[in-house]
Amino acid sequence: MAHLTIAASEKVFTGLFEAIRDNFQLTRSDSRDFGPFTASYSLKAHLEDGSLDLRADNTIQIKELDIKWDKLDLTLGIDIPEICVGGFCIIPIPFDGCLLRAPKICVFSKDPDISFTLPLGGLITSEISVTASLLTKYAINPNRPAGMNDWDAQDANPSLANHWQLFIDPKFLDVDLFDISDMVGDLLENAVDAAIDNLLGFLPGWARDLVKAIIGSAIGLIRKILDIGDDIQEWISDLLNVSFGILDFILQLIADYLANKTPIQEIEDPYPIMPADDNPNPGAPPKIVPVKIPIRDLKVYNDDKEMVIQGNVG
Amino acid sequence: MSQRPLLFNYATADVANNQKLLCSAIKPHPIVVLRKNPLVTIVNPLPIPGTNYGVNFAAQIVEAKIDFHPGNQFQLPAELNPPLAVQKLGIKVRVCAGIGCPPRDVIDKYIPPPPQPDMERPPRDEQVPLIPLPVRQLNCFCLDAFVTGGMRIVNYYGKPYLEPFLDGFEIVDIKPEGLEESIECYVILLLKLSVLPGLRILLKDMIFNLTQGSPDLFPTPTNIVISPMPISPALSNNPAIEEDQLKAFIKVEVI
Repeated sequence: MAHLTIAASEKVFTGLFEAIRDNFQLTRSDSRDFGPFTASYSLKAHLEDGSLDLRADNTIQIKELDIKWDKLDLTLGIDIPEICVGGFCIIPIPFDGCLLRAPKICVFSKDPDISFTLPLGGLITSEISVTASLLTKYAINPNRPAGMNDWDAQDANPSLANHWQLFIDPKFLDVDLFDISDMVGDLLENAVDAAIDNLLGFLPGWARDLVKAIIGSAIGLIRKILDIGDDIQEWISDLLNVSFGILDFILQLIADYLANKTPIQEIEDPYPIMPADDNPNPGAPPKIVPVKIPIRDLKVYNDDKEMVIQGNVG
Repeated sequence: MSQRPLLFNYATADVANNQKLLCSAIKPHPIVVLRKNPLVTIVNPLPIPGTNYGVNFAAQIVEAKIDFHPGNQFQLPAELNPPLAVQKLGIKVRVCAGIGCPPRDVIDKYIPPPPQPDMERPPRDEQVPLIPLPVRQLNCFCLDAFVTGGMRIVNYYGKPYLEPFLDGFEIVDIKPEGLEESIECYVILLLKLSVLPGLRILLKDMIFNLTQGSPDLFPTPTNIVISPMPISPALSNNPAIEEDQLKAFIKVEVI
């Protein structure tokens, strides 16, 4: 029989899961130049819903945890090939050039020529499911000098004590990151139309009609420049997932939080069970050392009702 | 016992300063030696009434074995009504003690002469420090003793402490009965008033931040507090001593 047993009910885990979920906040922004266009995003997200289940096979399952995108603004800056209209001769001089020419007007000379922001926050839903198991690791403080005893390590500021650490080790991580609404197509088309109308607004009517006749449909041009195929949702999803790596970034964040960076609990080893105390005898030293018990063979497992940590002391 | 030996070893200053006199050698943890922590709690000599002299002595708990209900590690003596009661623990200890009785020729040197005529005596209520009689060795004896008791959570100054308590003590094979009872009474006093209070553990509300390693994802800490569960109809004992274990039930709250 193990010397030490700590058990925590599923109710405790559910409470901890809800607390961690409700405190989670993600903010990030980035921008890239893709040649014919530039793109940037700014996002802010939190977590909602989901459930935690301790399972009989020594795993924990978190299901249908929603990422709520409070803000996910995707800004596209597009360089449209320059188009010039006018400049043709109205009154020619035979054999000697032109007496009067129509004015020449060029548009789309800047880079980027148009820029617009797609507010995708309300149009995207994302969901995470995780199957994980609990594990313990023994962490030797990397800053602790060789040969330092446990009492000197505890007295150091900051402490150089070693720890047993309890982690959630993800076995299966499923992130359905961007389920983008069909409405994003209309959103993009309207944004492009508005941006081009705004850009051409200074032209006289005949010139605006001429430019539009040359470029055809605005969205068609933008699709061509951006190399968008038939599926706008897929293109935006690829842009966010692959080009910006948001999927990898979020997966890495979750994996790091769960497995590497943050133990959900740490237990100092050896564990101080009685603090330092005053020396009851006259003379030095003024304090006597704390009483510490070494913890060994610490292991953790769960069934469908509780999590159990067991170890030996001494 | 090795990291805080002074809780289990009591001796006069002369014995503490010459630990070869102890009834049983103390084997301290290396940190105790390194930090020059005392191995014994220094106590006053046993007074010799009517004199300023005292006798050196030592009392030591040299072995201890603990058994949680149901008892199966050792047999309790009949005086403690075996088997071990529910929710109780038993402790078997070996106690060694001895007093430093000086040789008779030395004692003779300390026999006071009659008071000098016409010399003023000190007032009777004047406190004079005891002078320990010289000691060359202690007359040691060892006894096996059995303790029954338990663990409980008691509040002091508004804070919960886990503390051991004693409700039975028996020294084996001392006669006559009155001597046994007197020694038992003294040891009970020693345990209840000195040793056991030193073994209390403050059950501090322990606060943990579950997300301290990821301030970028968790701008505000996710704090939980761990504290002992209060006794209730659903939890009749906390801590509980059962199934050969000491069980403590705690509650976890998100704050």
